[in-house]
Amino acid sequence: MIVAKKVGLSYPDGTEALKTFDFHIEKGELVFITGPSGSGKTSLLKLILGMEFPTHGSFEVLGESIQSDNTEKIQMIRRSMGPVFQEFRLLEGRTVLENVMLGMRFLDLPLHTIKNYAIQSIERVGLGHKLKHTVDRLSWGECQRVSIARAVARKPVLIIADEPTGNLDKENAINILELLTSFTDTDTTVIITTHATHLIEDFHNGVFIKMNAGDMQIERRI
Amino acid sequence: MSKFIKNGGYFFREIKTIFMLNKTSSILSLVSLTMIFFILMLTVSGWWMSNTWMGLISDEAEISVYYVSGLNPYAFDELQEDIEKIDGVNGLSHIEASEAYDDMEKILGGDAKVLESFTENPFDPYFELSFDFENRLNIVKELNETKNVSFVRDNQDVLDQLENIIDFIEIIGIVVGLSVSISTFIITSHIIREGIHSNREHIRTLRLLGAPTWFINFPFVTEGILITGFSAFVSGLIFTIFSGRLSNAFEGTVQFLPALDMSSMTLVLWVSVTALALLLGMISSAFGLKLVSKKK
Ligand SMILES: Nc1ncnc2c1ncn2[C@@H]1O[C@H](COP(=O)(O)OP(=O)(O)OP(=O)(O)O)[C@@H](O)[C@H]1O
Ligand SMILES: [Mg+2]
Repeated sequence: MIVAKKVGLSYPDGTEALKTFDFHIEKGELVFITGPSGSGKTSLLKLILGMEFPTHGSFEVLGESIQSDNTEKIQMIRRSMGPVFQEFRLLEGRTVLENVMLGMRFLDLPLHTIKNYAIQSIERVGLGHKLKHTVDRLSWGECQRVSIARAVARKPVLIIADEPTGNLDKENAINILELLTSFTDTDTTVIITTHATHLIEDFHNGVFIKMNAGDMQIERRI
Repeated sequence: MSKFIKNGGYFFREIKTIFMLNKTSSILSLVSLTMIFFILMLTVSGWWMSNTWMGLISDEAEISVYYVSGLNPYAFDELQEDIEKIDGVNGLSHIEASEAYDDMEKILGGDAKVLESFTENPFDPYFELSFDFENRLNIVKELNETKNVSFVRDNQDVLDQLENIIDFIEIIGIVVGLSVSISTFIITSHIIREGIHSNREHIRTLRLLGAPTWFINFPFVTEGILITGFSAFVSGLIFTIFSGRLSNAFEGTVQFLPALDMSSMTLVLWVSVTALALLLGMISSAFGLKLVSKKK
């Protein structure tokens, strides 16, 4: 599903966000990426989404190489991913329902299915009563949940969530983590970053990636 | 195609939302584009008027060639050939003395009695030329050098004055027209690109969700086309009203320039500027999108 061989990422200004690493992540695996702020968690997710290209090494996601001459294919594989961005990236001025549906409009799904999927996932994140609210009027935590609903509604094969619990109270945070991790049952790979390590103490199975200043420590617990 | 139809309602709402989210700048774009297109129309119509006047004036141009009397038929033919050879002369017709008399009789009308005081026909036969207006100075010069030509008459003085005025209008027209055309192009594409630029995060989000390019671009391109097209349409409307007023006001103010019928020109201008605007809207939206989506 994801294969990294001697990959490293430096930003144009010289910041070495990810030091050379190797890993592979399989279908249906649950991956937690932890580490302090600035350790490179988001940078790793950006690689997976094709928002950044590796400075060196080979990085493959869903069978496609993440590199600058492969943007067409990267655009294709993005349709099979469910990204939750640290800064949400909701579309202002549109309703909750519209935001969630938007992630599916260009897929091969009939309109009523798109709407059903959207409503189901919005209800699942506890916002069923705010379908028609514009996202501009939502609280921070609510926006976060809309972005999660958008990511999971389209039933991706790979969910990538950057700090999905960052702004939530413990109860909501656990609810969201349970929601996201439940997708591994249907063979979806789920990658979650968080610096709230106490929240993931209850998870015993999965790949745990500890990041520190661009260094990666990978542990697979089965 | 089915995906397009499926999303028809969405696209429609998106176009509205994009407009409303950037309401102030969208409205300002509409207003400034309307004014730019109006100025463009003014310029083109000024240019059109000077051209039309130029055409009308060149119809007024005359050259008459008188020749020494008593030419033998051989010399007469030679003269005719010599004149025809001159660059820019398209043809000539011979006006007999009697025809010249008749013409003058018509011109004088009631006063034609004066002519009766002559015992002999006071008029000489001459050649009347049809010629290219631009070459007329050279033609006159060469005619004067032609053998057996006694006198060349033209209405150069009047024409020169008119031409000076028109040349002046034309130079202004070209300078203004050129700068207006260029600025129309630049400003239109700039405004449309700015609009797209302010939506770059939106576009980027759609890209990150894997949306295909056509899906992302469609509302923006349509928006750009609608804004430029609508502006051009409105400016055409204003221009039509304005030019109607203008030609009414113009009638009779400048004696020697004929009033022109602007209505058909106005319509042509309206339609073509709107078409140009639509094209410009499309090109500049596409261009703006290209710049915005350069990022990964
Ligand atoms: N576009 C960029 N250009 C230059 N440096 C960057 C860029 N993005 C991130 N960095 C740097 O790369 C390092 C890793 O950043 P990253 O965003 O991956 O951290 P993070 O682990 O996600 O942090 P946080 O927990 O605060 O979200 C940081 O030092 C950051 O300043
Ligand atoms: Mg981060």
